[in-house]
Amino acid sequence: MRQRILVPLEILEGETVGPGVVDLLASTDVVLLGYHVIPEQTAPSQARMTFEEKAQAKLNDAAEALREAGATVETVLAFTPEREQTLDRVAADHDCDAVLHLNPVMEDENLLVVLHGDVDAERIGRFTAAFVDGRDVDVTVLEVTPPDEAATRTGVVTDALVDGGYPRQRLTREHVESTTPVKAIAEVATAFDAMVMGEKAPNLRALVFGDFEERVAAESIGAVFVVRREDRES
Amino acid sequence: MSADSGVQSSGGANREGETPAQVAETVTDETSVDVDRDERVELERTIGLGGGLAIGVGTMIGAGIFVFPGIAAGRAGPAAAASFAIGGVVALLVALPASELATAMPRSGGGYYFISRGLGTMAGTMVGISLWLGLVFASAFYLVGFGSYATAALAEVGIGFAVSPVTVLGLAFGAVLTALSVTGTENAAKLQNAVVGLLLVILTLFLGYGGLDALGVFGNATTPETFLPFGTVPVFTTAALVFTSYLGFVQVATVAGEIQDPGRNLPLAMVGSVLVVTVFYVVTVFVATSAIGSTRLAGFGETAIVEVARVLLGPLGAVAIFVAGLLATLSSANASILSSSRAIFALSRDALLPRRAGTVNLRYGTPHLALAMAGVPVLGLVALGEVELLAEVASFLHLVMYGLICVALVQLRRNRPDWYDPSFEVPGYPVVPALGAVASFGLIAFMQPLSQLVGVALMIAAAGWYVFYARDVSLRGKL
Repeated sequence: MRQRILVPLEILEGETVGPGVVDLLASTDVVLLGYHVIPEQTAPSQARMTFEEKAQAKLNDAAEALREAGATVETVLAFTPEREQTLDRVAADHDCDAVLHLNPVMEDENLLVVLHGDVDAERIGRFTAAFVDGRDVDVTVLEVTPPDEAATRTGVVTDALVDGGYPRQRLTREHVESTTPVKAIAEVATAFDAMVMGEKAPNLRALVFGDFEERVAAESIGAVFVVRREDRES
Repeated sequence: MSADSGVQSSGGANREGETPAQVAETVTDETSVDVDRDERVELERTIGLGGGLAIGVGTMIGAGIFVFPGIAAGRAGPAAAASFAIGGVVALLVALPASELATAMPRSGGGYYFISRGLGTMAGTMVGISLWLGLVFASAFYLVGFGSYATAALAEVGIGFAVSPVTVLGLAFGAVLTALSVTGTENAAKLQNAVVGLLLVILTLFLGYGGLDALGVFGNATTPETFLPFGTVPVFTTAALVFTSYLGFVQVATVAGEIQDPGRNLPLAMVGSVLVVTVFYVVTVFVATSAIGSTRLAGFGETAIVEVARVLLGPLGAVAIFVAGLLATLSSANASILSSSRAIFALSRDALLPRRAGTVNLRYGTPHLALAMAGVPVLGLVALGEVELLAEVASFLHLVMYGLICVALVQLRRNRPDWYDPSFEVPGYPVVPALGAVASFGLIAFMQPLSQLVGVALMIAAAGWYVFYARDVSLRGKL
């Protein structure tokens, strides 16, 4: 089953889909969202009047590169005062399985799956199994827990992968105990080209510091796939 | 620019050969979507009901409570409360038809948009330009009010000046607001919502206490003065003056393209904000005239309400009202400059002003030319410093638009183009829009001759611009 992935690009800020990411996305259905964030004193229709042509041309270029690699691509161009609202809405409108946070990755040889907090391990497992299907990629499943807590969920992901036909001998399981999960994950992630993690329920910390996933993505050098929560899709 | 799909396209070019930029947008609760040649463009709607109410209330409340009570009481005595009530009724008679039009056309531009589509390009150009300039006058009026508060506040802490610094302070803050809006202010809308919330809390406490006091709960009821010391005519001339306190509700319609679930939220925000401020205004004047009497109130001028707070609640109350007055006048001025730039954008989109006027710069993402075209004339008018003239011309220019909104509604109901499908229908059609039109035009008759003269001159200039620049542009009946 092909995975549908939302790829947001801040299109007029020069954000592009790098060659490594194009390869990662080659066998997926991509919803390519070119967005432009505008301040409150500007009407979205006003920004559109000025920027649409340029933005659409850039978006079409990016879409073409993905299509050549084998992905199917739908494009959406959005002018918005609220980036998060637009990402969430477009992901829901198009029923996306995951949202990709771009980073300048150049390879697609190994993949880190991260479990931390109240994420849905089964869903992450299913997504990863479908994503690695037919790919030559090593997978490491990492669970991050507070100190002195056992890792209990890596098996859920590895079982899903093995059920999906992925060879067990290429799987690695890791457990890290840490009080600073963002840093801990970023440290492990330096050795990987791409990462899969789950979206967490919004909480107070996220309101203050930003989404956990976004902070990890900001600390990492590889592309980060954030598997969307199930309850959000109703 | 995308070609039109489905909807008939507008025609005609302006003097520079630009044509109206028409795009077929499908309105959903969360976006406006245009799907054209497989290219999907979405415009996010991010303003909810609370945000819409804050725009309406935030634009209006600065004037009616913090600038006018003293001036109005001097003109009409305690019956100034009736003047505010008349203003509220007129505003409501227009807010209802405007709500219907806004739900049928939830696009940026508000009153200008309705009238250009309902009554054609000439009426549209005149209203668009008078909306732009009306907001410029209103913003200058709020800034002079702000200057009065800042001056009084400085005097309060012992900083006096040989020459009154009202104009200088108004100019300085007007320039700051314009500069901030060009360079982009983050979270300005959230700040505005918080300011409006804070204002409502301060006012509710103040008016609640003052109202109970006036009714005799804390001692003796105040002896009522003669309600109509100057007769009935001043009640109406005062209503015409203070109508500036009701200009904010159509500003909600100027951001109609950004309101979520517009069919529900636009009417609620427009009608709701009129009702909220009407109650606050009437109670404020009642409390103020009861507390210190209309003659003393008039003597305090623009900052009279501070003295009312001092009498009722002591120095702490005065400080609270100072803070509220500074915030309220500044937030009204800011909202008006932003709305004015939206009006300029709507005109430039329709080729009634050069397209350049509405363009957005990439660095700050703001429409710098439109903001300058709003902000710079504001400064010129602040320098003029004539509070009553500024207020009345602002009202004049808005009232012409309000009257025409009602006419446009009747016109569209009679012709019913295919796309005209409002989700909110005005109750009491055709009586309500007819009364709205008569009341709007009627109120103009009670203004000072100088204000009427300036207003008429500006309307003629706008018509001249239409003939010179955009005679061939056709907008009527086209979505």
